Amino acid sequence: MKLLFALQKGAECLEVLASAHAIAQVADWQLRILRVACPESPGLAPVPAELAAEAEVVDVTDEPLRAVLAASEHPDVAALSFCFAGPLCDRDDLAGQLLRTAPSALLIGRPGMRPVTSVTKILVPLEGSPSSSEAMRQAEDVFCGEGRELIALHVVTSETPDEAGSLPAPRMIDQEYYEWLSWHEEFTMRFSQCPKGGRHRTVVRVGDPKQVIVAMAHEVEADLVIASWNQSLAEGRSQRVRALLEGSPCPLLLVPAPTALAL
Amino acid sequence: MSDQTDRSGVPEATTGLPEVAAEDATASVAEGARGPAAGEAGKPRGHAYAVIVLACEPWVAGERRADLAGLRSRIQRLAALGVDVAIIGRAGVDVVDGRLQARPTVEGHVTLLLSDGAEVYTVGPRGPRLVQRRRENPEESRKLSEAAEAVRRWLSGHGIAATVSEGPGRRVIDLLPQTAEADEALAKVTELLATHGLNLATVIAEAEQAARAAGLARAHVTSDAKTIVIGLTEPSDSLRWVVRRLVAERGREASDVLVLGDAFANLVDDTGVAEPPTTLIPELRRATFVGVNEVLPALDQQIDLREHVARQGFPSPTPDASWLFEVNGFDTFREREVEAWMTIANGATGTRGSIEEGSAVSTPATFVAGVFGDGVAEPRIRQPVPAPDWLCLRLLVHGAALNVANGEILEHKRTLDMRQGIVFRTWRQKDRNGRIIRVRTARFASLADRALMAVRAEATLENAGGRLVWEGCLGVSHAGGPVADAAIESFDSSGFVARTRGRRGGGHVLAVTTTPAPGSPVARHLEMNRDVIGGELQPGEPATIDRLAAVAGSPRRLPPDTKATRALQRAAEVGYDELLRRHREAWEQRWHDADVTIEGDSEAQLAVRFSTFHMIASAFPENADVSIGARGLSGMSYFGHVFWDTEIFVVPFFIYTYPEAARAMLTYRYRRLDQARAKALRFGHKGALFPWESADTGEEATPPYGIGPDGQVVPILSGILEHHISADVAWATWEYWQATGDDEFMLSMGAEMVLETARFWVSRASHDEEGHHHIRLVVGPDEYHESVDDNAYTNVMARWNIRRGLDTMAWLSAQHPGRATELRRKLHLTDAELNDWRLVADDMVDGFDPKTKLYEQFAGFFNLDDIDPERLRPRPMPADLILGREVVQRSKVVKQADVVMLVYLLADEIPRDVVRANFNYYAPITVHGSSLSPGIHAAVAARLGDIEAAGENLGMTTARLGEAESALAYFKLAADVDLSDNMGNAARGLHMATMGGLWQATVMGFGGVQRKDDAIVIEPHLPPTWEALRFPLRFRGARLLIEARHDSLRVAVEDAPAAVVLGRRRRILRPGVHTYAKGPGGTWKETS
Repeated sequence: MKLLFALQKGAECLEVLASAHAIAQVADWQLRILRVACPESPGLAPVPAELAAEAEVVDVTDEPLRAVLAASEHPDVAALSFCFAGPLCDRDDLAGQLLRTAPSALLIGRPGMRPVTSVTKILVPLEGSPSSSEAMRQAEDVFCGEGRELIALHVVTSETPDEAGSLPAPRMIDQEYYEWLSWHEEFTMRFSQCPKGGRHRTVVRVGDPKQVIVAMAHEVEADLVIASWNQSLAEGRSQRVRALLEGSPCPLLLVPAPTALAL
Repeated sequence: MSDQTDRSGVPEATTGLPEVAAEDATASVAEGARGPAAGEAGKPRGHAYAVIVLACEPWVAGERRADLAGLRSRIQRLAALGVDVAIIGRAGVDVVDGRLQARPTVEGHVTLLLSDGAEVYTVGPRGPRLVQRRRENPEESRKLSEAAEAVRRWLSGHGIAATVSEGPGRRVIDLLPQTAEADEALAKVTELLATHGLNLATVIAEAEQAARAAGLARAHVTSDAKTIVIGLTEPSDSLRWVVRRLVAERGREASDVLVLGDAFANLVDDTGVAEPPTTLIPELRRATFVGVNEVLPALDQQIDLREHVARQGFPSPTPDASWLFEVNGFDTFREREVEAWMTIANGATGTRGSIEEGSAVSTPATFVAGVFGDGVAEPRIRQPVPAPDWLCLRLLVHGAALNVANGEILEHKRTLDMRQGIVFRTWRQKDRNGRIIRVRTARFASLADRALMAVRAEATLENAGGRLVWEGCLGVSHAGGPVADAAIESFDSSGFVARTRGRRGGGHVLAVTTTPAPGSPVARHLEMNRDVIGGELQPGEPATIDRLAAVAGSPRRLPPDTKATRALQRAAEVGYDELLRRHREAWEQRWHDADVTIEGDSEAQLAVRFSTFHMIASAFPENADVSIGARGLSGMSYFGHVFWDTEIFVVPFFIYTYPEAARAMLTYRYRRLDQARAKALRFGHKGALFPWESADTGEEATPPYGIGPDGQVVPILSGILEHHISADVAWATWEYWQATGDDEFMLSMGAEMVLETARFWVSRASHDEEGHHHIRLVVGPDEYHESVDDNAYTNVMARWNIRRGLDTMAWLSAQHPGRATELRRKLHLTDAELNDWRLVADDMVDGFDPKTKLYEQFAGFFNLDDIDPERLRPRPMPADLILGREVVQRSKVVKQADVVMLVYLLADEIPRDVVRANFNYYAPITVHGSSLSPGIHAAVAARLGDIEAAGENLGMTTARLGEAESALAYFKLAADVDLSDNMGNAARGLHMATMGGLWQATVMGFGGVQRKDDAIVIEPHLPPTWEALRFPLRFRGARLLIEARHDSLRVAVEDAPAAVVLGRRRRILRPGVHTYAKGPGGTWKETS
C-alpha cells in the first residue's frame, strides 16, 4: 500500500513530508510523492535527497486537484497526505479542496506540529459508535505492534450516539466498580482491540470533546491522532475535527466513517 | 394360538395393531412434531409406541431364522428412532445375542430380558452388557437342583428320559433332549407323555410339588412344552422390569407399550389349560398386546410411523409473534447484547446465547447458581465459577469448519421463544466453495428438571450432497472466573464429564453427551474430547444431533461425577423430545400464573414479557441456598451478587406469581442470618445487618474499593454504610407473609428475621439531647450523597421495621405463644427491650414536614445548592460523571428513587397527597443514574395518574426524559435499559431489578394493584393506547385473573375467596367471575 503525498512548494511542507515519511515507514506504506504546482505556490518543490531515493516522485503541473484526486482513488493508496497551513475556513486552495473532496483517508500535517521521527503513541478518539470505530480498526490494522501504544479516548458528554450498536459511557451506573469494569471490557471488545501486540488502553474523560481530545493529544505526547470523520467541516461533530486541525500537536489521520456521523 | 378369555385385570390379546388416525398418533408421540394433516395422502396410520416388547423368541423358531437379519436391522432402526425395544426370552444371552446380534449405535434403547426374567442386559454398539441378574445363593442352588432332580427321577420312573440343565436362578428339565427346536413341541410332548400315561399339566404339577418339597416356597414353574423350568424368576418378572424401568421411570404410561408375541395364550394340551400365559400382567392392562405370527410387518409399521415423526421432528417457534423476541443478522458490535438477551436459564444454570460454533466476538458462558470462588486480582471478590461451554458444536462441511466469518451469511436469525422457553437459531451460509448450508438449532435449559440442558442441531446441504460432521466439544467459558482446577474426561463411552473446582469455594460437574437425533441418518463415535457424528448426505437430507448436558453443583466441594452422569443418563433415556415436552409443560404452568397481556401496545407487551421471562428463568425455588443476583444468570457482571435489588424489585413479582420462589429467596436470607448478626456485631451493633452484597456465604462481599473510569481508586462505602438492606429484607419478608398468609414461614423463619433486623435498627439509632432518634452516617438509595444523616428512606424504613418487629411479637404472643417464648429465649428478648423499641420508633426522626408534606431526603438536603434542571437533561444521566462528584455532592440532584421509593413501598401508610408532593418535588431532580430508578417512578406516576404528557414523543429510539415526568416515559426508559439499540447495557448481563421494576410498573402502577392489609386494592390507570391489561395474581390462597379496561374491570377468582378493594369499597369476592363498570368519582359498579 502507498501513502500519497501532495507536495507543494514551501519549507513548512517539507517538515510535514518528513513526518509523513516516518509514519509511512511505521505503517509499511510506500511513499509516493506528487510534486504539485498550483497557483498559490507556483513551481515544484524540491524533494530531499534521502526521500527521492526511496520514494516514487511524480510531477503534476496541470489540474492539480483532479490529478491528485485521481491518484488517490487508486486501490493501492492507503491515505492521501498533504500540508495544511493557514486558516481552516473558506479555503479554495488545493489543501482546502482536498480536505472537502478527497474520498480516501487523509494524513494531514500542519506547520508547527511536533515533527514525527517515530510513532510510539497513537491517540484514537472513540465516541462509542460503530462508525466512529473505523478509526480504531485502521489503527489496529496498520499501527498495532510491539513498542507502540494505542490510546482509545472516550469523552463522556450528555449526548449519546443514535447509531445502533453504540456503547457510550454508561448512563446508568448502579455500582460504579462493576459498571466501569463491564463497560471497559465491552468497549474494548467492541471497538478497541490490539491483537498484534503492543500496549493498548482505554481512557475516559469528561468534557467538551473538541477540547478534551486536543488536550489529551498534548498530555500523552501523541505522535499521531487517528479519527473517523464524515468528510465535512460543517457544524456538529465535525467541530472536533476542526479543533484537532487547529490544535493537535501531531499529524492527524482522518478515516472516512462508513455510514453515520463519526467526528 | 387360542384367544385368551378375559380375566379381570388382565389385558386381552388382539390380533393386528389398532388403527388410529395418524393425527392422533403423531400428536401422542412427540410434542412439537407436526403430525400429518387428516386425510393427507401418503402418511402412515397407526399409533407409534414408545416401548415395544418382543415376546416371541424368533431365534428359537426354526423357520424364523431367515428373518433374524431383518429383525436385527429393524430393532437397530427402532433404537435409532428413540424407541425402547425389550426382548424377552427363556434362553440365555449366548443364544439370544449369538443369533440376534443387534448392535444399536447408542446403548440404552435395546434391552434383553432373558433366562425367564433372571437376567437383564442392555445392548449397545459393543454388544450386551449385564445390568441385573437374579443370583441364586448356595441354599437356593441346592434346592433348585434337588427339585429338578426329583422331577427328572420321577419322569425316569415313568420311562421318560429327561435331562436337567442349569441356568441363572433356574433349572431346566428338557422333556425332548434329542430335539433341538421347539417346533410343534406341544404336539410331540403331548404324544410322549400320553405314551407314558402322563400329560403336561401333571408334569407341571409334579414340578411344583418337587419345588415345594425342596423348600422353594416362591419358585416359579413354567413350561414351553419342550421344557419345564423351575426357577426363581419367570417371564412376567421381565415384564415387570419393563414396566418399572422403561415405562414408569421414563415418565410413560402403559398405553405407550406394544407387546408383540405369541405367548399370550394359555398353553393348552388335550387335558385343558396346562399353563396360563405369564406375559399378561395387570400393570400392563392398558398396553396393546398383539399376537403375531409375523413380527416384521408390525415392526415395519412402527418404523414408518417413527420416521414420519422424525422427519417432522424439529421443534418450531410459537406461532403468536407477541411471544417471540427476534434478532436478525449477525452484528459483531452487538453480539454480546444478543447473547445476554438469548440466555436460557432455569434458576440452576444460565447459558448465554452464544452461537454454537463460536466466533471472534462470542463470549460463551454457563453459570451454575450458588457456586462461587475467590477471585485472584485485588480486591479479591467472591465470584461465580462458570462451567465449560457445553453448547460447543462445530460443523464440518467436507472437513472444513463452517462459521460466520468464512463465506457469506445468507440468513441469520435467533428467536427467543418466551412461551416455550426455547432459543431458536436459523442460519444459512454460503461457504467459499459455493455450498449453501442451512443450520437450525433449538436449545433450552429444562424448567422441568433443572439439572438438564439440551440442544437439537440440524445441518442440511441445500445445493449439493456431501459429508457433514458435527463435532461436540466442551469449550472454554469466556467468563473466566476463579477456577482452581478443571478436568475433562470421557465416561462410559457415551459422553464427557468436566469437573471444575472454584478457588476456595464450590465446584460443579458437567456431563454431556451427543447423539444422532431419532431418525437422523448419521453415525456417532467418540474422539479425544469430542463427540463426532456425521455421514454422507444428499441435498436436503438433514444431519441432526441431540446434545444433552447435566450439571451438578455444590457450594463447598466438587460433587461426585455420578450426580451429573446419572441425571444425564436419565435424560438420555427419555430423549430430547420428551425432555422438551416436559419443559414446555413447566413453562405453561409458569405463564399461567405470571403472564401479563397488554392489548394495544406491542412494545410494552414485549418489554414486560421479556422481563417476566427472564425473572422466571432465574428462579430456583427448590434451592434455598441461592437467590437471584443483580444480573441473574446471564453474565459475569456484578459477579452474581445479591443486592437489595432482589428483595425490593424482584421478590414482589414472585410473591404474587410464584410464592414458592419468593419463599426460597427469603429462606436464602434466613440461612445467612448468623452472618448478618456477625456483621452487626463487627460494627458494634446488635441484631442483624445483612451484607450489602451477598454471594454464597452470607458474608459481606462488597469490594472495599474500585477503579473509576479514569483509572483512579475509588473507595466503596456501600458495604460499610448502606444499611437499609436490613429493612429491605424485612420488608420483603413481611410482604411475603401478608400476601400469602404463610404462617408456617413466619413462624419458622420470618419472625426471627423481622425481630433481628428491628433490633439492629434500635441498636443503630442514636438519640440526641431531646430524645429524638437519628441514624447517622449512612448511604441511602441515592448514592451520590454518602455518609449522610437521617436519610428519610433509611429512617422511615427502620421505623417501619421496628414496628413490624413489635407487631410480630404481638402476633406470636397472641397466636403462637409457644413460639413466642422460644424466640424470646433464643434472642434474649425481654419486654424491656421491646419497650425500648417502641420509644425509638415513636421518636425516630423522619425528615417529614407536615406543612410542605415533603420528606427531606437527608438532614441538610434542602440546604444544598439548587441546580438548573436543564443541566440534568437529557436523562438518564450519570450526573456524578457529567457534572462532577463535588458538584453533585453539594447539589440537590438525586441518583435514583430514594424518597420516591419510600412513598412507593409504604403507599398503604403514606397519604396520597404526600406521595404527590414528594413525587412532584423529587422526580425532576432525579437523573436516573441507576437502572433501578425508572420502573419505580413509572409505578408511582401511574398511581398518581400521570400517565402520558401531551405531545410526548415516545418513539423507537431510546427514551430520553425531557420535561415530561410521565409514567409511560419512565416505563419506556426502564424497558430500554436492556433493550435499547444504542446503549449496550445488556452486553454483560441483564438487569434483574429493572425487570422487576417493569413488572411492578405494569401491575402495581398501571394495574393499580396494592396490598392493603389482607386485601388487594385495584385502581387501574391505563395509558390511552392500552386497550386492556390482563394479569394473574396469587393472593392468600386465591388466584385472581384481573382484566382492566378503561371503563371496566373483570376479576376472575379461583381456589379461595379474595378480599378486594375497589373504589375504596372492600368486597369479598367468591370464586367466580366478577365484572364491574367504572362509574363517576372512581366508583365501580358490579355488572355481574
